[in-house]
Amino acid sequence: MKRPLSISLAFLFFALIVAGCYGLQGKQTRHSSSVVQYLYPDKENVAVTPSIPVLSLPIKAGVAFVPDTELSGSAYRLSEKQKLDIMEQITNEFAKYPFVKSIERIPTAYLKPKGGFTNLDQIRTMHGVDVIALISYDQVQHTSEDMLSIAYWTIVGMYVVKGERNDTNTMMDTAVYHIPSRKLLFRAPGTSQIKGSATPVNLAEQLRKDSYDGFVNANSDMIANLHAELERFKDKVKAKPEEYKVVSEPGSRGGGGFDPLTAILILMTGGAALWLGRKRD
Amino acid sequence: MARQKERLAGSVPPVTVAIGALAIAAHLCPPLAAFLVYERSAIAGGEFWRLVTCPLVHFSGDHLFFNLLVFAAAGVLIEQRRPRLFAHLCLAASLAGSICLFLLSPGMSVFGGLSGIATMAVVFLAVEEAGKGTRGSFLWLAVFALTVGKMIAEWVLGTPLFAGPEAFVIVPSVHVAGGLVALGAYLAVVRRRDILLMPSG
Repeated sequence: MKRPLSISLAFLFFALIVAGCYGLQGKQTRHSSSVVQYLYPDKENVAVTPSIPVLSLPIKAGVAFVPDTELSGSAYRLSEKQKLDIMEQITNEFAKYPFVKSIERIPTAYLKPKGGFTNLDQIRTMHGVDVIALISYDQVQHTSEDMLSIAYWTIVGMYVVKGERNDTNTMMDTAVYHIPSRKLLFRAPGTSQIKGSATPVNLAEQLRKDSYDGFVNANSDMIANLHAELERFKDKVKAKPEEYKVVSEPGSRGGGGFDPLTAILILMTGGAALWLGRKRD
Repeated sequence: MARQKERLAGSVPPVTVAIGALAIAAHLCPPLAAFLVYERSAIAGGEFWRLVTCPLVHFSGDHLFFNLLVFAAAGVLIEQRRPRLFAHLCLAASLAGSICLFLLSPGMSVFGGLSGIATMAVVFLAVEEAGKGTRGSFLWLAVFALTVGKMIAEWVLGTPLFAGPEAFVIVPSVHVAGGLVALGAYLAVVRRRDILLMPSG
């Protein structure tokens, strides 16, 4: 009788190790979209020759999420409202630039999967935008059980012990295109990493929350990078007038101002004149 | 101590400070800016105050900063000597710029910026100081030449002299109007009074 018991115990031990290892290995879900797959869906004809963009100031721009291309496992999908909320943060940040006339938030329903520049031309006609910011993303969520998960055996542990570790890695990227010329003006990425834990009972809820928080954090990072890239782009436009043509639209917002160099020259010359005048006194 | 305080209070240029404070407030409060900005359709609809208040509105932090810097530097100097004249000059420069814009640029729907008044202040200060014949006169003439050169360059190039084309659509007519107001005031008020005060014979 001793032998079968030891065999049974050994079998149980082996089963536990196998099950434990399987549990600790975890699972991964992925949710992504790609600007390349959206704009260049035809694998045989990927060469689209951009022409010189004529940027008509102030610019009418659009912002849109590129349609999903990959959704593996039970990945959490952003709702249209959440996408519009994220896009609103971008529009609020960039609408205050004097050279931006308006920024339209374009719902994903207007973007056909693999729509390419033909789809962008339709959007341009429908929304009256010349420049579009295409947002793509890649979010990977990895879930695994840590050593605390042994408490799940007690059943109660499944409700109170946070043995489910999860990592949410999000990368968002905005590519700003001038639609008529097919030219990529500039792009900026944003990343976020969220580490969390949950009980098995509220794991799905936690993953949904982490997923949305990941998008929001990556979006904030991306907005900061977009500001920097926009400044670089402005310098590039000044430095390479042969590559970008800027024209002013009649009926636009106008202003008058002292550019920094003229202002400083006037102030320094005036200051020197005052100093010289007082010196005589 | 009390006398010192009184002197300090007396030296605060109220017009320059008020215009500067209102410009900053308009920049920080978009609804106020929307109420004050030059909007062609609204002016045509009877909102005439915008002709006077539009210089208080700016479209970016840089736009406000450099306009205010030049305006404050010149404004304080003029206002210390001619407080009443300076208030009238600001009003005249603002109105002249807006009316020029309304008549000459029918395509311009929205406008803002202190630059017209700042140009007026710089031109007035430069010609008045240059006219005094002090050792610094040639430098005041240089300030005048620099300001006129800036206006000509803007008119010819259609962009700010050194800033990039993205800053805003430049409107040189407002600067020219400000400069003409300053020259007109100098000739009509300052020069005329000097001639009248000149001892006869």
